Amino acid sequence: MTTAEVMIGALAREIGDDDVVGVGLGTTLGLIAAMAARRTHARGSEFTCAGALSPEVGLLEAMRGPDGMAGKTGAWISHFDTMEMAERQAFTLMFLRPAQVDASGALNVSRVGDRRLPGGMGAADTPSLLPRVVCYHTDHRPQTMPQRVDFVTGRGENVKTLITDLCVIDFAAGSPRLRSIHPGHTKESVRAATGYPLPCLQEAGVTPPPSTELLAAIEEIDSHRLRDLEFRTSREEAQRRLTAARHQPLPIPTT
Amino acid sequence: LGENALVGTGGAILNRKPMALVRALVEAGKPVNLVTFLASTDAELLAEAGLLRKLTATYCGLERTGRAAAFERGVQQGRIEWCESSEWLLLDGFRAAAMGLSFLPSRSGRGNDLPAARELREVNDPYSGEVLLAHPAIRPDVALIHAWRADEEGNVQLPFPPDHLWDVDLYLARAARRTVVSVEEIVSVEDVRRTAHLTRLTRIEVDALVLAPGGARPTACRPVYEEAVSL
Repeated sequence: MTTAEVMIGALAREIGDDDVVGVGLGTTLGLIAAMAARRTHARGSEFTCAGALSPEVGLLEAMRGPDGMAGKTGAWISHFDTMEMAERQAFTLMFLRPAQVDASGALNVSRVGDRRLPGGMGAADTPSLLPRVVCYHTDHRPQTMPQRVDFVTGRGENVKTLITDLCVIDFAAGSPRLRSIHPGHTKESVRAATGYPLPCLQEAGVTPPPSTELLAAIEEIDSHRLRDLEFRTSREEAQRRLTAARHQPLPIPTT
Repeated sequence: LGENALVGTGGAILNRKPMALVRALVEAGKPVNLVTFLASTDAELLAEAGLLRKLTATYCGLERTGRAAAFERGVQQGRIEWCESSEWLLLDGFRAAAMGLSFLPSRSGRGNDLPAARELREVNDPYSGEVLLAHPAIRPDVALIHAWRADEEGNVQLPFPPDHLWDVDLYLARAARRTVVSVEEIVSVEDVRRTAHLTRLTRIEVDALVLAPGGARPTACRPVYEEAVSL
């Protein structure tokens, strides 16, 4: 079981049957979680991906854009319509991967210190529109989890959960509390990596691993292991796999 | 275009950037302010030529192929002003201009640091009293867009399914004072009439049409070519 799979399990657990999830192509773990949840415990959930409504494809086809998803979705939604859906809260949940998340849940995708980041896209918008935002981060350190972010790209009130490579942090009560710790880490090591005090929820334990059913769905959705794209140590290899796979003909659909 | 015109470019990152038209801007040699939804090779080419004064966008980079090096150098050295925006700020800005309004009200951005950085003003909803942000109109002097094909009258078509974010280009075209569209192919009026459901910009909205096969390279223009990317 890799950290990516534990994180996808935790992200998928955030999705219920009634959720409509907004997720970008750049947030691979979030996209896999949305796809896998719909195939397992949340069959009634929906997600949109690059304009396609819950396309029945694997991750690679989704990343190939309209040509990869054509014929596998019943609706193409324009970006204006997507934004309008967010304004009227027709999306119930959004996954974001910011550079920093602070003790108030505020997120930063704009600049860290004097280093400018490429830009926040919709990360400035969705936290002030959607009722529930779940953030994730694959490199939990004191610098990425500071008391106060260097720039508030998105406000924190609607950020309800933060899932990192070490643990799951609960913001439901308005302040951060440790909900669970991933296998191989301890309360002490998580606290040492966090820039703010982190009390435990009473029931805080080990993050449950994804179910056998969910793991099978992840394998089916992401047979090229592109879930490694968002981790510093495995990114380069995963990019090579992506480049090689993108230039193969599209797989023949099985259903 | 005069010096320091506000130029809007269509496309998104490695998709359908109007590169032939941007190269023409570089040849013209005048400094420009650029506004685009997701900047990439357009901002980078202008930055490399020393012609980019200011960029308004929600992102500037080359996606999985890396960062926009010339643009980043320019920002670091203070030659380029980076005006970070958000998706709603940009789209509302284009929509307001397209409607002839000076702003559109929105909940988006309330409570974060962008409104102060962009000096946004608030507005009271006269019916409910809710305090909203006034997203100001963005009215480019010219919009540059690359598309699949058009007829000689200027009815512009995109394939179906369209590429992601295709509709942002329509608002950009309608917001700008002038709209220039380059295309892979100019086809007959009859061909377009037979496939009128693919027409996305009409001849009423297009001021000039340019035949520029390969005009989006190295970015993609479906259904003709993919982005030229190697890692």
